[in-house]
Amino acid sequence: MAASLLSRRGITLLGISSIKSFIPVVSGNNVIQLVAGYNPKPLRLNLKEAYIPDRNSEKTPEWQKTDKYERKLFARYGSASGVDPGKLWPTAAQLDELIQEEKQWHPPLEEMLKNIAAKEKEKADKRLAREKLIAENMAKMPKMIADWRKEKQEAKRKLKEDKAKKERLLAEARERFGYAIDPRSSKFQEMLAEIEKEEKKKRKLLKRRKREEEQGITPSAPAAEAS
Amino acid sequence: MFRVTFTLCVRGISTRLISSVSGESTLPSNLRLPANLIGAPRQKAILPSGSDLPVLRRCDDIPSHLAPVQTWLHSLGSYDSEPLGVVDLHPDVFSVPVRLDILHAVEVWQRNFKRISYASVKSRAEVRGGGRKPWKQKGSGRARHGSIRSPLWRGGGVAHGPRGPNSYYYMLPMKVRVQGLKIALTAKLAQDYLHVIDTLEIPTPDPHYLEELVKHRQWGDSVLIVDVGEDFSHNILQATANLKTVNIIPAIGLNVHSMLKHESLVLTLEAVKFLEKKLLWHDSRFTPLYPFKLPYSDMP
Amino acid sequence: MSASRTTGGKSIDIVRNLPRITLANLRPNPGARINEKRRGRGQHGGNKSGRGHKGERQRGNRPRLGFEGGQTPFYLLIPKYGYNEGHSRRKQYPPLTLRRLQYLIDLGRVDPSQPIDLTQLVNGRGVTIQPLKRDYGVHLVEEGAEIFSAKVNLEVQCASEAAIAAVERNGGVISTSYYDPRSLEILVKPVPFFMTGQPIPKRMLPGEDLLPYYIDANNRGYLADPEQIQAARLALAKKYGYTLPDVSPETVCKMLAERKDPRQIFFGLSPGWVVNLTEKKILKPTDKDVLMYYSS
Repeated sequence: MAASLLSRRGITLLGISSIKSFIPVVSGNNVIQLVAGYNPKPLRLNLKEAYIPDRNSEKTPEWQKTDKYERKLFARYGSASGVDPGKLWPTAAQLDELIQEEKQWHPPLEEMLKNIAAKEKEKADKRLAREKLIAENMAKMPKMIADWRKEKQEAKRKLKEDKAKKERLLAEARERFGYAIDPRSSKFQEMLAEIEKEEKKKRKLLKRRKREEEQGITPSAPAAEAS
Repeated sequence: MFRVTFTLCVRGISTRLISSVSGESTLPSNLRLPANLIGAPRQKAILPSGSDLPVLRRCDDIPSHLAPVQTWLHSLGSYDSEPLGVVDLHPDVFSVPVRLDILHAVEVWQRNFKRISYASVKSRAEVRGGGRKPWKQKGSGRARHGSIRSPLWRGGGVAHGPRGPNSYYYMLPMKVRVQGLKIALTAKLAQDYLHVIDTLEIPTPDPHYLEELVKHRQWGDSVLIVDVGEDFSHNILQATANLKTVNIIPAIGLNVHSMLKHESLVLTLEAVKFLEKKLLWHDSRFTPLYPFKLPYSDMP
Repeated sequence: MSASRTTGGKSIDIVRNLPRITLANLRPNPGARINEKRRGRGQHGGNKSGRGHKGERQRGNRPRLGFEGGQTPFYLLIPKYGYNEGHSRRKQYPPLTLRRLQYLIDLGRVDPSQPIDLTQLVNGRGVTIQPLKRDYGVHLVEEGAEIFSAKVNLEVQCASEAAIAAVERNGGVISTSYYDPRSLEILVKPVPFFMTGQPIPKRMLPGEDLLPYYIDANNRGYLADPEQIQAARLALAKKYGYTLPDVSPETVCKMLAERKDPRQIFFGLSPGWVVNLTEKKILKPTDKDVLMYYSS
């Protein structure tokens, strides 16, 4: 008796999964005791009769009086739940809210397409502008390269000249003093200044001679006579 | 001299050959038995493949590439009755690969999942007293101590002892548990310890009758009888009530531990049907999509 | 009893000649369990237990991974860059291969004589969709295209070109459509939703990021122009070198022509309807405003 009862409860409650939890114990007085190793929880579902909470009662918890719960009741027990089917849909106020929300968050297809087109256009414009800028700059490129090359050559040449001049000065100094001299020494600086002075003088002379020559060639004869 | 060595060689080779043929070295260590421990040789029943008895139970929905396994159908009517016929058993339940490791896993699970260890000892904090420092730290010439209940002291607490009731609960996956049942049934059938009977009807509630029957049919030292477990008849309940070696269990409670503990397993036809249905369901079942309390239409 | 006609194999033949399997001779497979190593026990006590001499190595308090002894570690030296920015918000499309689809159809878990959408696939346990894990549907991929031979009316959320070709080569129809997470939840698990007793909501349009995909006829988007789709079908047939089969039988043609409205979640159920599983009834609203809202 107890065996069959327990096994039947086992079937309904737990199915095949729990069959191993029963170990038979054969005891005296021809009663088979099934000893379950644990206490099965009673089934929480009330399957026999529907539980319809009373809306007017104070004992009913608040959450069982909501529309959501009533819809659930209707889905579960059908019309036996006594819920008005009209309550399954949102009321006018809720519908307004829904519509507002949709308006705010879900723009219609055309608007979205327009937005997308605008965005695409903006993107394309940006790209075109950039391409244009690049093309312009690329057109300037050969001239810039030529300039740069020229500048570089110039710098190289200057460097070379400076070097040659220095060598020459050093050689001159060696000639003058008879030994190799440190370019940083005061003697060398003096010599440099001297040479510069001479150069200046020479240049001045050259200039003057040139001017004289010019005056001599062109109508400067009277001036030459005068001087 | 030569002859002697030759014979020695031959003997060595032959003993080696015999030992390898007898398969003693191939047996796993847990299955190897010393020769003096093996009891009286069991007479194995001939398999019913070539018999002309009628097939009393057919098995539907076997896949076309598989064939049913067959066994005899007995009855408990009288202890020397001949087999009534042959029954077909589903190969996916009664002829699956025998995996001893799965049996072991299920057996260990069965022992452990409901075990609660109540071993508990007191730590130094729980033993009464010991709050005061027994003597001052310095100057006494004794070893320094802070409490008379320290684990070093006699009567002190236990360090790293078992703490309170511990649960050893865990769940094997459902498919493994089902596989364990199938393997146990397969092993019983393959080793000729599974017997199928038509009903549990016995002529008398006398336990001696059952004992005689078990002895006569060579069912071994202990027998587990399984029925679907709705209502056992009065006779069988009375007969098994005081027998310690013959036990009766409803099919819903059939488990690996009981099957392996008893030497032979006796199933009624109803129990076979029940077990096949329940165990085969797991081969084709779907995993649940949502809680079972909601309506399902697709569960096989 | 031939061993070949059962799944048991050789193991049964072996077991037949072994001693009885009892509780005493069970054990795990050899090598399956490894005993924990217990260092420093017995005569080896008082030593260093194989952990070396002093320091972090012996005490096991190694600093965190990447720590370089106090100097600014490499992983902090490199500036951050947003390769994975927003990874937790990216839309996920679990793949569904054509091989898997064919398998489901062959086993009868998905019925090809009906239009196949996500409900059918999930119900046949073909895919697992978790809308709460940012899943937005399935992605049909071309693996197994060479063995795919079913004629289906398929609706997925994303499909590769070769997969589309494989479906259309067999005379099937495929469309990609968008479901917002709420609709997707309802689509994959209709019963829990119907048990809440709420009206079926409208399906929302895709956002601006996904709209171009679903408008494109090459993707067989559900918002694309049907004529363009026809042209794209022909173009794809030309590209992959097959001829579009002519669907002549009436019933199949009807099945293949079935298509959901962009606002519809289930075949045959309009938004705004309430499905009551207990009484097996469908309740339709009559109020004009409600109808307006759900039909727009």
